[in-house]
Amino acid sequence: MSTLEKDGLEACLFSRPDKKLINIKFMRGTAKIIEAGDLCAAVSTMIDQRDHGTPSGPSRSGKTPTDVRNWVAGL
Amino acid sequence: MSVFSLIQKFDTRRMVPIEVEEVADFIRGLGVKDEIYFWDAEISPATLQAAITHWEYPDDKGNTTTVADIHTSRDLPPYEKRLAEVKEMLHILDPEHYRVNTIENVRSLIEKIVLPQELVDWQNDGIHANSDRAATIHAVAVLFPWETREHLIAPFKAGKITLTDIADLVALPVEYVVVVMSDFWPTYHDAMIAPQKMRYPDKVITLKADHSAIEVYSVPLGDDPYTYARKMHERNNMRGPIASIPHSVWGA
Repeated sequence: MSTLEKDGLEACLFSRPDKKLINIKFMRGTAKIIEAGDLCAAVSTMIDQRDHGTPSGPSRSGKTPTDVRNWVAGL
Repeated sequence: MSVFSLIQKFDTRRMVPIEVEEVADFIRGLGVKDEIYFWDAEISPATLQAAITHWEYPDDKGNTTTVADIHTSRDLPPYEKRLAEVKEMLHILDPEHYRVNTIENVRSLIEKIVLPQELVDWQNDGIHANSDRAATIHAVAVLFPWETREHLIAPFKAGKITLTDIADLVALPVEYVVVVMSDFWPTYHDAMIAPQKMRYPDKVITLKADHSAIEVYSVPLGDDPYTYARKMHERNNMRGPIASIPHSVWGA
């Protein structure tokens, strides 16, 4: 991780006086090889978008709930 | 409330799919006051599928609002997105020693998280990286309840239904349905809820003779109790002496 990337990460996570980070976790991308700097850049992007965007709400499956016991009985 | 008890709570569900909002409501129902927001991020899922950033916002009156931001890549397919949102949301329940909130620990976690599967070292990668990786399978256990599996296993083994049928039923990626329908899953599942079966307290608060508080915590297996206590002491700006007492003494 380069100094520039480290500084960018520190700026977006720890420079705001109005909020304090209490936890951060990640779900790794699907690429075989991921550079730490690319992941840092993605973190900076997502936080910047959060600060300037509106929340989307949780995703919905769009499916009608199914009782699996009845579903299996009908096989 | 721990993630293990959350898995147990959903274990008896046979109405599927379980929606992300249901899990969020359940966490709120446990008394978690954190505000939870979901964000679509324009990031490549090849680099980062999702993340949680969990913040405290202090106000002028000395109060604090806690906000959990769940970020997921806009380009994730729907089933993957559901899983990623729940995985990140489960970190709201992370105990103190799982939480990553210093620049050194964030850098260290990133260095571990970028590693491909074949370089993952569960023995040495540390509690931050391990808890991050394990949360994915915890999320699978929440979204694919034990009782649902119990109803599906016989017709699946009889060849009456396919993994794709099941994936569409529970709205999860097939690669995770494979794991749940495997013969290994009962062992994994038992291991996941095992901490909930233990009857030891996570935390006990008692009083000294002068009525000042003594806090007693259980220490994660494998951690040195004194080092763990010293870190917690420093992180929480605690005062007073530290003592480590083996469970065999105080738990007897």
